[in-house]
Amino acid sequence: MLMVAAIVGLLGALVAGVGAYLPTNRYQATATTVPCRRVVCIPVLKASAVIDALKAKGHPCEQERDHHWKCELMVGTLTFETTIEEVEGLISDVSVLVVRPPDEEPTEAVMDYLLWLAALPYTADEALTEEINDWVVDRIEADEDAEAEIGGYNYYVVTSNPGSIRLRVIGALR
Amino acid sequence: MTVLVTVAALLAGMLGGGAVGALAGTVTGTPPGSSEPPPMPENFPEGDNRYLPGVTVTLIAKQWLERANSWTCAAEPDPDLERGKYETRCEAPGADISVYAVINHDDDAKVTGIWVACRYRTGSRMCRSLFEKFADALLQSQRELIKPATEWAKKNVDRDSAAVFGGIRMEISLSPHEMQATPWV
Repeated sequence: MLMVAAIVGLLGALVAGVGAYLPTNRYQATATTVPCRRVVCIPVLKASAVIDALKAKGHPCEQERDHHWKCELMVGTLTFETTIEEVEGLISDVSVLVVRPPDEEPTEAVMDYLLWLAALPYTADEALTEEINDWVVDRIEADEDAEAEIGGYNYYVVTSNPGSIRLRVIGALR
Repeated sequence: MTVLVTVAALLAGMLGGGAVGALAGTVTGTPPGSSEPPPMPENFPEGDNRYLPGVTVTLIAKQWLERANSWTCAAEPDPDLERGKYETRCEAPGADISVYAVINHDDDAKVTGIWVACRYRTGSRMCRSLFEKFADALLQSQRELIKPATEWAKKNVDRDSAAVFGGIRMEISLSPHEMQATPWV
């Protein structure tokens, strides 16, 4: 009798285990966001590594308050400013502001800056990196405000204020 | 009794198995991505871009304004720190307050911006000559650009206009009448 009960118990464990493993594993392996406290974050990528990369390029970065970083590089009449919200060491929100003379076309430096930051969520996904690059380039060439959900993130581009371009990347909550 | 024990064993087994399975799924199914960001592209703006390429305080203040034109330059005691650690202000001879120049810099070879003011009436030869010589001085290390830049300055001396020569953005404004040079990327 105990033998039967033990076998039934083991079978139950096997079925439930496989049942729980498969969807969890599949969700994790394809997820472009991970839960972090009450929001979602970019998986794996460390906020400190992004701040260090900007500092290494000579961008002055300051921790404005807990878990809130601002890196601001001023080049003559141009300003390159990025704000990063950190949750549990990961990144939950990236806000970018480029200030430039309103009558000048965005330069390669402006585009390289915006695209590198826009693609931060997809360090391992070339297809999504390309998709977001195309979207940002198209929106800025069209010079119009836009928002879209791409790869689990909400993207916002605001070009309607003369002399500035804003970009925001924030994980979409389900 | 047998049924009860078997059902209990089944439930306990499923509970334990489910928990183990979910945990295994979470651990092995690591989300994709790298802990480091990708390398920055070639034209990503960098700290050194803050300075006018090939321009020094010595070149502008000493050689062009003081030596060649008898101006007087001095460190401004209260610099605009947003623009640079130091500010050098140059004035024309004969207490002529209609023209002056301001150089913002972190170091002799780290000039963040320069502007030259010319308050003579529009159409005056004074402003045209001053802006033309300013463009010439800015491009001493990129001599092939002197001709187009000085021609641009002469042509646009009396209107709002901007142009980029060799990483230097030159901007002329009419009110107040001045020409500004800032780095450009």
